[in-house]
Amino acid sequence: MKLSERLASADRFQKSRGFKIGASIVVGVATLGLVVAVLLTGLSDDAGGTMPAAALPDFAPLAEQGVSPEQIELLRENAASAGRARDLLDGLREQSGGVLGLVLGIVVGGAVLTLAAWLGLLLTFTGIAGAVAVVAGPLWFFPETRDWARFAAGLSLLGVMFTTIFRTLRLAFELPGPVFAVARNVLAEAVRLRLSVVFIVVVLIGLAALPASLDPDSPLRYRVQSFLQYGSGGTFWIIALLTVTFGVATVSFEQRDRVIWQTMTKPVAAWEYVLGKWLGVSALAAALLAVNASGVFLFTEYLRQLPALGEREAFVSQGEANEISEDRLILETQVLSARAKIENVYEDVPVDEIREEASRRAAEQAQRDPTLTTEAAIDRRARELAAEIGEQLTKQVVAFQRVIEPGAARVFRFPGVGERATADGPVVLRYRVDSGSNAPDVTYRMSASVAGYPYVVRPIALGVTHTLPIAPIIVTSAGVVTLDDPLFEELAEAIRSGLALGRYVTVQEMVDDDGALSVQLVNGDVTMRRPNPEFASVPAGGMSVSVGVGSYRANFLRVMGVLWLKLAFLAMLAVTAATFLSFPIALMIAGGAFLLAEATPFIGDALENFGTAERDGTVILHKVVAGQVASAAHWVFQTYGELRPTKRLVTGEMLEWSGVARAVAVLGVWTAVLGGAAVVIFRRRELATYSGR
Amino acid sequence: MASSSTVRIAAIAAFIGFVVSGGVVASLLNASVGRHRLAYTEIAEDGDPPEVGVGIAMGAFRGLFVNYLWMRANQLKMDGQYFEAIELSDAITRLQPRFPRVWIFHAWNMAYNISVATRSQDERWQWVTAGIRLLRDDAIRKNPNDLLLHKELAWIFVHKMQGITDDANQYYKQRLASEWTVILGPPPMPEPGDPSKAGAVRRYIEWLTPVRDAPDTWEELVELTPEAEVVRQLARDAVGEEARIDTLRRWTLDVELHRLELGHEILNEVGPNNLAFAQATHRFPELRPAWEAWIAFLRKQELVEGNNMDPARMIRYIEKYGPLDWRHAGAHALYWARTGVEKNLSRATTDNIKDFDFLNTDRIVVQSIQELFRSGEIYFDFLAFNRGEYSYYLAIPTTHYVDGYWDAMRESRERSDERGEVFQKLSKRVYTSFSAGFQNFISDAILFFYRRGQIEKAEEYQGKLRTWPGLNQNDSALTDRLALPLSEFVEEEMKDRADSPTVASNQVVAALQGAFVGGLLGGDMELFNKQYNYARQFHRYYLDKQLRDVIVGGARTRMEVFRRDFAGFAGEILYTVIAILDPMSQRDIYAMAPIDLQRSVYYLLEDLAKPNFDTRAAGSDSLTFDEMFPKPEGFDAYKVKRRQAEQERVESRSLDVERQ
Repeated sequence: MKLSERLASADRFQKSRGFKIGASIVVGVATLGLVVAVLLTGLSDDAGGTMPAAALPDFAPLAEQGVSPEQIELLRENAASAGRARDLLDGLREQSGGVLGLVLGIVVGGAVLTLAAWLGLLLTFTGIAGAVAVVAGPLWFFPETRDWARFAAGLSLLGVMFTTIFRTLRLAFELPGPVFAVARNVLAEAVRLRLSVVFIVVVLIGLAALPASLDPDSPLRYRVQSFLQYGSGGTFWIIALLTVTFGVATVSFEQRDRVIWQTMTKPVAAWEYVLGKWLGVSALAAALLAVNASGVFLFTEYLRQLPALGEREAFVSQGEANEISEDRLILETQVLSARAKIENVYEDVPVDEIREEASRRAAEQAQRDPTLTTEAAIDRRARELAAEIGEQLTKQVVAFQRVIEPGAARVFRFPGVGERATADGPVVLRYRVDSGSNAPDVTYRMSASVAGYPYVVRPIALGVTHTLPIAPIIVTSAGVVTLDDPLFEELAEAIRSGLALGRYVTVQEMVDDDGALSVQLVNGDVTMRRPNPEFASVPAGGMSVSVGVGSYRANFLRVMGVLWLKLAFLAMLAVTAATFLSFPIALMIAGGAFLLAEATPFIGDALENFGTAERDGTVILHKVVAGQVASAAHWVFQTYGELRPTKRLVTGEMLEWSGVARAVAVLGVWTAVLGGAAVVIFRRRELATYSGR
Repeated sequence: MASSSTVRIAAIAAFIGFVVSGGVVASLLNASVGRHRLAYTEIAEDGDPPEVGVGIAMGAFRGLFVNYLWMRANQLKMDGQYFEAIELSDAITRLQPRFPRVWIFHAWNMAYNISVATRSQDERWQWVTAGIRLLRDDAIRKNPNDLLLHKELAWIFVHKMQGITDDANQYYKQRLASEWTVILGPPPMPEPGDPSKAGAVRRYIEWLTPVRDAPDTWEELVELTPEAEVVRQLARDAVGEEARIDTLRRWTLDVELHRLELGHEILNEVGPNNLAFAQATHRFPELRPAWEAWIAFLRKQELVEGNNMDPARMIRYIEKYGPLDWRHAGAHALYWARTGVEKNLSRATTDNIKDFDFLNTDRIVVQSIQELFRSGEIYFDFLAFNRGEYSYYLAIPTTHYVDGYWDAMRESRERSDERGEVFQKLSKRVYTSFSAGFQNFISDAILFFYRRGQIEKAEEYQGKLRTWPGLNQNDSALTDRLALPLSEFVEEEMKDRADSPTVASNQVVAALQGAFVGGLLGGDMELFNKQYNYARQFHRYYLDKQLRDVIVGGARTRMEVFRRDFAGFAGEILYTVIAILDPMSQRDIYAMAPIDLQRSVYYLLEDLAKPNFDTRAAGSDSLTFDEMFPKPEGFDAYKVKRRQAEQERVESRSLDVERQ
């Protein structure tokens, strides 16, 4: 039998019902077995990895040494609270989810293989896996070529996943009706068109090659952030460009090549055609995004299992006390997390007082103006001046609330922290201080006291954002020990064992009755009684706290959902543009709109500092026009731009459900409007002229 | 038809017009790009890194792209998102390697912003040195004549590493000392009986000369020393092929272990590879010269290729400024600032002088010399540091650099006078910060000499400063102070400065040196007690005022310029004095010391100097260590207590938690 005949025979076999059922059972059993094995191994590791909960020491004998019952009770309370500190840190180690990540990976793998079996591709994939093993296996044994082996394995895995998902979608679009028929054709076209194939290959190769570009010497948190940034953000851009290009191409090429005649001469309504095209393009984007998301998620879980800075191996520190390393702590609490950002609120601006003061000053100035000779002119001028002065005074009042004199203190209040934070959940203060010209070689020392507890002094660089874990803390007679202090865990254990005095304080004990958290910031080093040399100011948005409110994994899912929403919107934009424009023009319009939408945050920042007049007040016309156009563009794409899903993922910031809902609403409405416009245009288009009689 | 022809002619004319004007504008733009060094190259050649080709391929869009990256990197830095800011800066430096500001931005981010964001002193060190390496090993290699890059590199050394603003500065200093002990080997110890600057300079030059004279290539080395092949193979057999710096580290460890005769005791602790390497180096004694030749070659390679430094230049600067100890960050700052100035002096003209920041680079030169005066004499326990134990690190003032500062000032003024059309004419100004800095420096030197008991020397410098032509004319108070008798001048200068770390170090060390040399050695116990008590009071006052634990201080805190226990510190200073005395004086000064001082100095002598004494005594008439320095009464108990206290300081930052 020839090789081709053997292959054809194998293909027939893998498409037979018996094989599909048998393979599914084998894959299911293997998946289940692996999951059970991993869970059992993980549980036994956990049992050995964390210290068993020890009973609190018996403080009663201290009474014989003259210690009062009140003091003994205090010791007992402190020891019990410090036990919670250890629970928190153990929780951080466990939530890293080595087991859970692996289980998820196995389940996803099992699902893909089962799907592949039912698509008649399992033996094909097995053959590919064998070929990759033959090529990549030897490469793995040499350090110099190990990255290539990893690349080959990653690429084939991603390729298998994409093929499976893509074929599943095509199967799903076998449903009856013109919409699905058009969508099915779009997917077929995606494989046929070199343009889309190039993009698909670029996404897969890029993602497979990305891990090799990570610097193994950099802190683990930076590696994870880099991977999330480029794995999610970078590939989103490629998929978005594919969506726009392919969305335009699939509609305009059909018109150019007159293929559309065959569709439109059938009973297909304009809305069905537009919807089908959109569905096909969006599905292609979804398939690529799903592959991308799976790859990013699984590799991030893998990265999480690598040793962080200060660790001998993952989760085992270099220190004898096995304290959690700073790199690991930041990774688990500030990167692979879902944190809500709560900005401080400033005091209300005293509007009435400002208005009164502005009117008084304006009246005085107008009275003194020798050019104003009539009462009416003086009144008019006074009104104009009052508005200007009022604006200046308001700015001054707001600015004053952000300025701290050398050696002075200012309190920043964060409402709602108590409601959102969990009992022991870490709370991080993010703050930025400006001073003078923010000289880069100047280090200030700022002191922060949370809810009246002793000060923590930190050196800071000016003009850049810093973080300070402000809860939970351990308060001792010598000061405050924060969560990122290498001594934190050791000290907590000493207090719990009754060897040291101190109190473990959580965020819930720091908030006031309204659930607000107050942080007093001193412009100087209070322990040394040394002020910084100049005024310090906190810029707008420069002071916030972040509290953990959910899991990274759920956040990851929401982020991917929002990314798909954006792609779906772009798909409709591209389809709509192509309904009435030729390919290059439609591509320019849709691509331009995409770039504009992505640049909205930059445009917003630029508009804040965009002047339209010379210093002497002369209006610059072209700047006025540019400003108006930019403002309009900013308004249109504001919601799209503000979502910043990738940034949130990378910085561990929660993408709130409310944000997702708003995105669904706004992008949904825009997509519907564009779709409606496309349908209207399409109906009016004279796509074909009947030349017969 | 006529109309059509007119349109065609107009179109052709417009076409020609656009081509010509485009050509003109392009030429002007290219000239501007070249003038401002915005483009690295327009031609990719064989061997160029891929980014050069990418940059050229991007053509006109490269500028736009770099602009975008630059804005984004800046924003990310402000947001504290360093991971991406670093990557973007890296991309910019690859695309525009002739854009010094980006190199500096990138280096600053790492050395200043990212480093303070972490609490681990080891990670901080990595970031600070990453900033240094970026400028020194990449930026200056690609822009060898850029003054700004030299200046900023020198500034990171003198400010970030040598300054005291960073909580981890004491760790940086020790780590730098450790790294450079590996690269160059332990520097020469003071020679008993010869404390002069000339003697120190001679010893340092002799120490570096074999490195400077080592062959540049492996082939040359093998030609000169064929056994080098054998010793390299022995090393490879012992530990496999490894990086140059690792070989040097093993060598230094072995040398130090043998110098202190600790080999057998400790080798088992240092790991199997170090042990195998040490055994290889001692297996064939006849190969010792070949080992030394190979190591000198590796040192030169490490200097030139690993640190972008020139050993000949290093020796020249030692001759010029004094015995530069390369374990001190000030020596590196001086090297880079001075190199930048020297490379650019001949390039500066009246037309381009604005492109060169000579003034501030010269400032770093003199600031480096000032730092070397304040703490340029280093005593460092390399072994203890590398074993994670409490390490002895003492950086004390040395007067070897006083005249170097004077020379540097004279040179700057002469340059400004001779080429006044190019450089700012300093002599015409009634006030310069240069002169103010110099005045402060000489005042500190006078205080130091005075406190050490070198009254004549102090008076000499007071007189020289009084008559110095560059004295700022607007400071009449200084002129008045300089006219005062020396003791009153010192009193005036000391006002409100007792909590300054540099003044504290200056005064305590000088008082102790005066107490030991003038008092103990001179047999004047009244002077000894006076000086010793002054030092003790100053030490206590300063530490009471300044000492505090900081977040990443490790065993030493930010402002801890000397040990916390005074007796221990006095012992360290006595140890440095003993190191430069002749044997008889060594014995006498030790014998005259009070018992608590004897215990603290014996603690160091026994650990660090005993093997040298015994080696010297073997086969000669010299006294043995035990004859020179008999063990003081109660020493064993003192030793146990001190070891325990030092280890506790390493293990914990002494949070002073109330223990039950």
